[in-house]
Amino acid sequence: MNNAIEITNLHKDYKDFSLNNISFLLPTGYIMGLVGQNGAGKTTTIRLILNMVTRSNGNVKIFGMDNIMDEQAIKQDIAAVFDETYFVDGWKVYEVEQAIKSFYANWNSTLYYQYVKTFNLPINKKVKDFSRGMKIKLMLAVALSHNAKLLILDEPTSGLDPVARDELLEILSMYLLDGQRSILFSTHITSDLEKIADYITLIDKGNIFYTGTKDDFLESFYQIKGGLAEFTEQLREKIIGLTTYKTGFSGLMPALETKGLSKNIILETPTIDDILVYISKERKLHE
Amino acid sequence: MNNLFNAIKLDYFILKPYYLVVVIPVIVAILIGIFTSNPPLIAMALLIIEALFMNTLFFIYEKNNLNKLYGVLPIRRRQIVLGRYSFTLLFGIIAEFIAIIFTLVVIYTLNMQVNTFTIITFIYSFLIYLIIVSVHFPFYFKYDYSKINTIASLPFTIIFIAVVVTMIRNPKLYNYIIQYSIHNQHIVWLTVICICLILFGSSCFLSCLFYNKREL
Amino acid sequence: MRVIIANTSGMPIYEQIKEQIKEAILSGELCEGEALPSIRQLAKDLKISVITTTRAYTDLEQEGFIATVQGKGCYVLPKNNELVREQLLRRIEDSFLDAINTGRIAKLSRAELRKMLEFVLEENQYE
Repeated sequence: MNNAIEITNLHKDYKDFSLNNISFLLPTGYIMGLVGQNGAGKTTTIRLILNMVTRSNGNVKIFGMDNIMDEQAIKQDIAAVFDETYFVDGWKVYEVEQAIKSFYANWNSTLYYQYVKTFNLPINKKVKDFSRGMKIKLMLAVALSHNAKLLILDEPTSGLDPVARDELLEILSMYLLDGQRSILFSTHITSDLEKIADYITLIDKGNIFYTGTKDDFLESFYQIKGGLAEFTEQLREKIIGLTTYKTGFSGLMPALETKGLSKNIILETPTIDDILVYISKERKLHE
Repeated sequence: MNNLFNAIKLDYFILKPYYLVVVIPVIVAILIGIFTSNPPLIAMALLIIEALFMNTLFFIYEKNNLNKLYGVLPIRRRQIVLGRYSFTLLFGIIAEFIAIIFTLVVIYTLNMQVNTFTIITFIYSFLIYLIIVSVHFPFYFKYDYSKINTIASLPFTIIFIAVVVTMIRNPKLYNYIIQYSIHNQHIVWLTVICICLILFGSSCFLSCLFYNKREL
Repeated sequence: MRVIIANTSGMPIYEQIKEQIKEAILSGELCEGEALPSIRQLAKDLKISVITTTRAYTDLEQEGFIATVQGKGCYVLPKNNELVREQLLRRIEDSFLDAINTGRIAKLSRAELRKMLEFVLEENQYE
């Protein structure tokens, strides 16, 4: 089985929002960043993967198996970290383990307590007295203690200080080292992904804007800046999220279109954030 | 079903930090029994209060986002529902034992007698427990706790107060019910127990339907 | 082996890695037969994507600098390789081209340029 996640034409209708026939692949051994604005559909996608909500249409295959028919078998090897804890806040570390471990065939108690120690999680405090960073680390400790092959993270870094974020990324890097495990990382804090993501799927208002390698993604676009003198109507058509002001213009341009531009125009590699902002601006221009 | 046992264990752990939900009603029930000089009321009060408090499990579910825990754990929704009903059943049985013990203790302390009346109260209290839980639970499996709580509890709270007050004021009515049951024992027992079991089973089935459809 | 990523340089990251490893090999810092860090280890250390390091290593392999042994890793190939020599020749050509372009700007004649080359060769005792 080569793909950790294989999503085809996944569709979900809500009252005022739809996830429109999205498709993407995550090959085993890699980390995919799921990015997009708040409300774009990232959490919905994750919920659909975990079958927490029922899909209207489409296919979701995890480790090559259907996520509904083989739900229980799949979940033995999946772990998830959300932005809020899903433990009873009156639990202590040992109670978390006691409550959960029997569900997992591969639960490793020694490993769990090793992580508790490495993450400096207080053994005698209740979950409700944990700091935000500790709560995330607790979910991570649980996630890493049953040999999960797919780790799903939904906005785990919002509210974490830069040091904690760095620690989290370090943990994720170690997780990926053997090439057998995969990560789906949904976030709107893209600087985290900028570095370590292998693949990117960008969801914009329920639609996929891009899915593929991060390198290709960043190489597909240039941030374009120039003076009004260099601005042409041709450019207006090709630029995404164009902004013009007294001293010039800026926007996003597909790399293929940037041949033969005036030397006074500046082309820069955009960040994922830049791209997100420009496509959002572009959408507003057409609304 | 291994997972069923895991689900029951999980419910135990969920309720564990809220042990006061168990302890306080026991104390309250005992006090009721003592102050009304009607020890069998201990069982009635305890089982009814605990039946009403079983919704704590759903309160915690909402408060601590346990929907996400259930979404991640390798367990089917039906097993979660069955687990909760099984846990509740076991809990009721244990509560009944505790009630029986304390009732007997109070009876002997107050130099009263154990009679058929006492035993019938024991049985009825358990059945009422089953009935309350059976009516309550499907609501909680279908809707969020905070949305449904006041609605679901209201009828029972009213009835509970009404019944307790009536029984306290009209001990004769209570005795009449007991007497009738004693004289038509077999039919009454059979019917009542059957109804309760069917109710419990249907409730479980309905909850499964509701929870299967629910968006976590 | 020294591989450092400069975030602000215009060069794509995979190219930076390629160049630095190439440099290390050509300068002799990395010896023939020496093992390179695994693709994943390098990605983790540099905090970049595995796909980026894979690309760098694949290119290096294609250009004849390294070889991958299944299950064991990547190793530096001997330098007396056709392709390596090609690389070096290309580098020399590029440097000459730079010098020529600068010479044009400075308006030097062909002869003057040649003289300069001889002078530098002499100074550096090139055999």
